[in-house]
Amino acid sequence: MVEIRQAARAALLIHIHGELAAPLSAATAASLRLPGDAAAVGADSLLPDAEAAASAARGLALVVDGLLDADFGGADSADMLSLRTVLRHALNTPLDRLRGRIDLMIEQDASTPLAPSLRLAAAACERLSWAIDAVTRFVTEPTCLPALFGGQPSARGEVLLIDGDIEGAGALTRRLEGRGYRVRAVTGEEAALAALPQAAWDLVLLDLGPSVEAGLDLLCRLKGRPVLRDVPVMVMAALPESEAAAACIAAGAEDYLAKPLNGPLLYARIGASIERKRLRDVERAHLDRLQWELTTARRLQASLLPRSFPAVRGVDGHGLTVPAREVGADFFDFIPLSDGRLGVAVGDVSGKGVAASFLMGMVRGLLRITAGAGMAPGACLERINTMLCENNDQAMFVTLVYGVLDAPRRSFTYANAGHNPPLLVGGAEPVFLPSTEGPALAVFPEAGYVDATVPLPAGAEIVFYTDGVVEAVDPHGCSFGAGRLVEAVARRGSASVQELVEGVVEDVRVFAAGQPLLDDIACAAVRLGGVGAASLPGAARAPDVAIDLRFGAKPGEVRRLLRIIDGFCRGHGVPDRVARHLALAVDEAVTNIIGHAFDHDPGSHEIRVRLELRGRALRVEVEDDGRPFDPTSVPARPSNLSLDEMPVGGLGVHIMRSVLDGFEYERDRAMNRLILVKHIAAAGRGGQT
Amino acid sequence: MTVEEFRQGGVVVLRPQGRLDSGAAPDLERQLMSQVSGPRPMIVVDMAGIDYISSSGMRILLLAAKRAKQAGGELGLCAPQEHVLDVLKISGLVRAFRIHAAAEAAVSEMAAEA
Repeated sequence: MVEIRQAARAALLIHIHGELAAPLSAATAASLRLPGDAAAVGADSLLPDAEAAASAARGLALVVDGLLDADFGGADSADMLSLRTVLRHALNTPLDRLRGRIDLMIEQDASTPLAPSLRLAAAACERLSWAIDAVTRFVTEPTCLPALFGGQPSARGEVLLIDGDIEGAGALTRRLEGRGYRVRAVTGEEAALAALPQAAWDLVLLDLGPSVEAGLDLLCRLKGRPVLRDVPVMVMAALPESEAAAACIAAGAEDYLAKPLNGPLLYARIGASIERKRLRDVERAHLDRLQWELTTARRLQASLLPRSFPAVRGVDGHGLTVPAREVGADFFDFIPLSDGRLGVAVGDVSGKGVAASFLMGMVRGLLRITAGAGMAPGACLERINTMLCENNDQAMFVTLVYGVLDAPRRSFTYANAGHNPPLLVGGAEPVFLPSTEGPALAVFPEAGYVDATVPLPAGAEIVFYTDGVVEAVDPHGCSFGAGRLVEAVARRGSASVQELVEGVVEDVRVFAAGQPLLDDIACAAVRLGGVGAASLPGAARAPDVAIDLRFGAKPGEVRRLLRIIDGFCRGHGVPDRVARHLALAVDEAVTNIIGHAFDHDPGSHEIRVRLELRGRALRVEVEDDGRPFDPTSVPARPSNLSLDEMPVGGLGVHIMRSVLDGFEYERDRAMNRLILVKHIAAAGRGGQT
Repeated sequence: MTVEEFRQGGVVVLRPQGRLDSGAAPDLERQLMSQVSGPRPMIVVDMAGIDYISSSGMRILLLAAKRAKQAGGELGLCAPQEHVLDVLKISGLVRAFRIHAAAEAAVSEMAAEA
């Protein structure tokens, strides 16, 4: 192997030496003449530079001769790529020095009698520079040898030459082939069009010929071909540049060369044109790759969404997402569970693009695992939150509402991590499910999520959506809003769930009036079987609404409970004062339980709170498994005591009595159950003050 | 809970902020009890910054008012928000305190009696 490499290396250097021989001797000869010419024309001021140029030329010749030395480049050129670097450096350094001297002399005085000799030397150096570039370009591993000796496609480029003049074409072809291009010369439009698909052309050289107009027509037809869309066309014509160039460029040509052709200029322009084309090819390949990756990501993301609604007895459902960009991060899921229950989730990952989509896939997987293990929604969210917080380096977050639809028991138990409240359609007016005050996932490692349960009448529907729905904006900057969502849902009471979901999304699109979506949209709905409430004539009275909450008996949970009660009351139009009195009574009841009902570690015990709206009454049940305590047995005290008469103890019970309309206690199967009632119409006993 | 405290003409004014519930009551209790331990304590609790009060908060106020009175002083309240006053009225606790419209009025009235 080592011998082969050394043999290949020696062969390569011999080849390079041969390739450079002619241009090198031209450049050296032209440069070595400079001191003599300068002296002859009396350009004494240029003599020192001329001598320096001649000296540089001699140095360059020595370097080229040195290519044949066995140890050329030494250890620095051990492999082919290093060899290329060494070669380019060794050859270009003296050549740059030589060209620098010549340029300096041209700059000093272009009108000097030495100018013709200088231009000759400069052109020779230019040719040598191209030759060095071309010959070192082959030096790549491991394909350089076949490229050099096996007659493989030219690394410099495939050129299609279209020329009406066969002789002229032949001359140009030979010149270009001498520069390392592979050239195919054709005559006439038919032959040109036939040749187009036969190779991956890097450049088309078009000689306009005697009839410029006919030539331009041909140019237009050529550029019209899809196969030529990305191939530069360079036009040559015997016209002054200023006249023809504009017309050619307008017709799609990349460049224009005036005839007669100037050799170095021609090669430079061809080289530059092909270089640009190759850069564009690389760029396009890169873009194609990105597009492919995005398409793949979109396909993967779509595959994470349910393709069809699972078969669950007595339940129908449908979901839909509309990504705002290539890859969305909104999602929904239907998870069949035991006992005829169905898990329903809708979520939204902050941010967009592939990163958000990736996180979405993770959340969906974690939800499927926790939900499938039979965990309650709040426990699922807590577990997912813990895991996401451990691995959240990107400061992303996820809002998610997850609930279990229990069709046999006609209830929906849900927990909400900062997501838009689902809409419940069960009676005359759709209502948003009360908030359970849980923060978004992946933000607070210690966050807790409480479960709420709502009873569902037959035919009830729950509509889930992401903020892309309610925050969609119209051309005037107004947002779609919760009100339009309620209308969009209410209007489709008798439609199928699929029509409902598609209709909501359609309404959002119509509202946005063709403006691009700013955010992803997801919408999903489930409907219980049975007679829908919307089809019941005279379903005027609001149904009872109830939520069940469970939480650990910790002081920190009280404020959240009060916020949930506040949200529940607001959501059902309960007057502020009534809501405040109820919340105060619940605070007293729960604070008392946490402080006094348990001997050890109250946080390990659970408190259950059921909140109901029954007609015009709010009813709250508070249950705990602590030691028996009946607050209603505490004697009532008059409200007109003076400071000295007023006892400090028993204030909590006194306040509950003061603000409530009903206050009962039951001991049931080792549980304390306190029932607090507050009427909405009459403002309670406190109303008289 | 942060409780601002300053003295003006022999009257101590305390300004608790936020919710006066079981979580926050111990902070106010500590400050109030240190004030009522002296002779003839004249104290005003400015309630303007309190947006919620439960029995835990009321118990502290009541206890401090009793102590202040025993020591020959007084604890008054001023500027309660409407819904806080509502609860004080419903529970009858309003009878345990003089309630002034503003801190300045409370200070000048109590300073005159001191």
